[in-house]
Amino acid sequence: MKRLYLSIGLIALLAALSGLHTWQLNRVISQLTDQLTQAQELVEREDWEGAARLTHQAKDRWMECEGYLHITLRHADTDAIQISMDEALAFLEGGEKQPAEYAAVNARLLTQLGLLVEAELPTLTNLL
Amino acid sequence: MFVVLIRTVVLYLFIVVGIRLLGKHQIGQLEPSELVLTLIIADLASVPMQDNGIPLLWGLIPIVVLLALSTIISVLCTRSIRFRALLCGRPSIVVENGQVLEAELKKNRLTLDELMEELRIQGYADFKSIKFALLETNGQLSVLPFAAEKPVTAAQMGVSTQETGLPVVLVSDGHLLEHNLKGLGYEPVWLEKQLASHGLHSYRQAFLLTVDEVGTTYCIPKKEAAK
Repeated sequence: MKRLYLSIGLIALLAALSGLHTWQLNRVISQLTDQLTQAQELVEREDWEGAARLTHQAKDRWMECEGYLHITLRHADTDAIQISMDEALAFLEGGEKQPAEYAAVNARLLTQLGLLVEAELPTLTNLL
Repeated sequence: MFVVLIRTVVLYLFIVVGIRLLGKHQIGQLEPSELVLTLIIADLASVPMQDNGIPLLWGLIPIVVLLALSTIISVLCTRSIRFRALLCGRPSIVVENGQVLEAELKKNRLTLDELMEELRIQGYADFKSIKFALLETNGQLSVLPFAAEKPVTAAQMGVSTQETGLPVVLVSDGHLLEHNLKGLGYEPVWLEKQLASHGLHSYRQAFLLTVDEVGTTYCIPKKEAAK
């Protein structure tokens, strides 16, 4: 009976940890999404420096969790997001300001972040 | 990760049911759930090994979940006869009183040729001498001959026999298993005598030397020693 309880407990623990992971990932991605959305709004108001500062903050937050994300998520997905962040920063800090190009890169970055969380949710779509 | 966990559970149960529906003779020596476990774990372990882009955790979590599920199933099988019957099935009688039960063969998707092959492997050339043949849940065929067809035993003949017990290996491929020798309470001098009785000077010349509970030794000399 001990083996039975231990096995059920192990599955329950993994399920709980998976739930915790999804919650934590959702929290981090929400923060990043908020910052990147605000950066987009600042660019629309021609505040390129403010947008760059916010995007840097978002990247720093991402890098704080990089180890954890690398262990728990597909490496190709995390690498793609990091590349998109660098790309967005290059547009923000480049000499020639290109709002349309930046908007496109930022939109892609937001979509990538959204998909990352969505893929971790235990929805029927993901299960099938 | 949640998705990986749920997918593992779903896939495991799905394949267990699938293998169960395949029928017993497809299984071989493993129970359906054991076969599924073997099939999936081997594959799961190889995926993160081959692809560095997949986190190791994605391979480890399903394996832990599968082992836990397998333990749950095995405990439930030992505790509930109904569950065991549902998961592993029941043995099927395919031959009764020398008659092949066609319906059971069809139910288990076993052909007559396969049945006859199994019977021949077990030393039965025809059905006449078979009282029962059962297809066990692990896919093996058990054959019970008619009482008149069974080999005569020493007890039936009224002959007294001595229990020789389990033979213990003392020398294996020229290596002395000292632990076994000491465990049985024999001295090296005794071993030398036994080897000498088989024409050997050293245990290194013996390929196999065993001794049973009554002290009877059995020796196979190495080929070089025999020459």
